Amino acid sequence: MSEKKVDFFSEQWLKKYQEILNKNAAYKDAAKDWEGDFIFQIDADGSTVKEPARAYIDLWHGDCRKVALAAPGQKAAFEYSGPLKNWKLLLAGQIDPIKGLMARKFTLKGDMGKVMRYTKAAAELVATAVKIPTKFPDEK
Amino acid sequence: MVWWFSVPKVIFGEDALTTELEQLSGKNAFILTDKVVMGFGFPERISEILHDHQWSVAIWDNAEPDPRVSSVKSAAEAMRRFSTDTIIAVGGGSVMDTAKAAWVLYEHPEIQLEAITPLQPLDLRHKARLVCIPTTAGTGSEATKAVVIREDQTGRKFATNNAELCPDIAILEPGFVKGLPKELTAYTGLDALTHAVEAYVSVWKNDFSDACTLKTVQMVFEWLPKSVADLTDLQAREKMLIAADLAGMSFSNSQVALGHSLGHSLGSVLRVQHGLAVGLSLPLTIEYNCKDKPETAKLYAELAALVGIKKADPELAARAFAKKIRQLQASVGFPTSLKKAGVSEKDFNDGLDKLVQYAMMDSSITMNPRDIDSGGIRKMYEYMYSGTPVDF
Ligand SMILES: NC(=O)c1ccc[n+]([C@@H]2O[C@H](COP(=O)([O-])OP(=O)(O)OC[C@H]3O[C@@H](n4cnc5c(N)ncnc54)[C@H](O)[C@@H]3O)[C@@H](O)[C@H]2O)c1
Ligand SMILES: [Fe+2]
Repeated sequence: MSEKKVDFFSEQWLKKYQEILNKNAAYKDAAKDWEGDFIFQIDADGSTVKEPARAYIDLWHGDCRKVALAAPGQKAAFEYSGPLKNWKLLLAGQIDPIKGLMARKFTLKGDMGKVMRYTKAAAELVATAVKIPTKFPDEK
Repeated sequence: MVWWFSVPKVIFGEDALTTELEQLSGKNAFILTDKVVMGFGFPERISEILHDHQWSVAIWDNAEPDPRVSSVKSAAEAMRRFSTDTIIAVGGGSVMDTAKAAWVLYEHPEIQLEAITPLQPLDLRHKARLVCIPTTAGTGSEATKAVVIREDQTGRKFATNNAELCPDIAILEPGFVKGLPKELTAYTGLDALTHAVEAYVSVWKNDFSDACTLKTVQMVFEWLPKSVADLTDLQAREKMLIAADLAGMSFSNSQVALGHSLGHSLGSVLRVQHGLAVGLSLPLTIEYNCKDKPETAKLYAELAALVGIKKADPELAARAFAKKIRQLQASVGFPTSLKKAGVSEKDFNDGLDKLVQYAMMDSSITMNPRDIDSGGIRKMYEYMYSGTPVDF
């Protein structure tokens, strides 16, 4: 039987993300010196997503220390954002996270020099989200 | 998804150099080179042609192998003093990469080189254009968006790319590689082969890059042994220049993979020449990547078929291809292990932790078709040190 789907960017989804990331040995290995928090954002699209949905993820030395829904003005060292339709493709494994940035399907803000030293860890961050059976806001 | 394939204008064949330089437009040409290439008189030859066409020319010959940020900065400063409108890089990958990075700082002194990614616009070409003339047949940097620079403090090489870094013009002049000694001919030739093979299995592979790879693999197997056997064979030199350029086009648009992560780190920590470093890595990465990865094995099998390997089982074909590359290496006097390349056991053991750390930090690792962790990388280096085929 397949796992029950959880709502994208809900508290439950974020907890699940934290749980899977903390069990991901490849992430721990690649991010063992990483210091810096992230905000993931689903951009507002004027229809399904009225306000930007934001998730805060605190990452420290290979550990995901905290996850929480984030307020509009909340800051983090890095911010990765894109519209819902692209998040759906990303989570379906149909968009490569870096190619997605190059094709302007997502944007990334933050210290690029640092990201370039941790591309493997960044790829694992996305690979972790792919593992969660997700229910998107436009799904019944 | 949308994708881009960028290449420069490439000029090759008889009189390529003179023909192109005579047509070049601009006023102030900044020839960037190194002392070795300077000694061959190539920059002077270019300067003479340009002088005949009313150019002002400055020659800067301070480029260093595996350039550091500080060296790049002094090149940029010299470009500024000369009000450069055309940068002409004449040299190996190190010279061409110095030129690319200095060009960025010349146009925008505020840019941090470590922070260049494929993502953001660099906004180049307001002040100058870039012409590259390679004097080694390997890196293909004259045709790539890539640049590799070393941090001053740590010595770590970092590789990045951006579409705007693709040179405007690449001139392939076989006479300029004729003086390349046997060892460097072999090392740089293996760099070209590594670019081609890695691009073909990279997670960003695409049909345009694949086409370049297929031709490169055939050409390297045919012409590298001839280049090494007779260093004055101009036809072989030209074919290797073209092969390296094609390989550059291939990986520039699809990326390199694990072999370059291992290689860049070897260049950083043990100062192993780039072609030697990636060439040693290549067969090991093929053996690693083909295991339990039927789709990747099939890609290697396609390349293997080009050099006469026919096996029904793709993994066996891939392993035979790795063996064939080792045979090619042996035929051109390329060492079969890090140990045979002259790295002492002490230096290797002392450097191993750093080697692993820097390889993990290299962005090409993300492009590899099979995942690897730091334990796997450590093992790769150990196998490379002794020259043992990979079985894990
Ligand atoms: N940007 C890219 O696309 C790209 C691709 C691959 C490698 N690289 C980088 O390029 C560098 C390696 O370049 P390379 O392999 O061409 O070596 P190199 O440019 O470092 O040159 C090696 C040595 O050969 C000498 N040399 C150059 N031309 C010669 C000639 N015709 N005859 C005799 N000696 C000559 C140089 O002076 C130097 O001492 C590395 O830093 C590597 O990381 C860049
Ligand atoms: Fe290379």
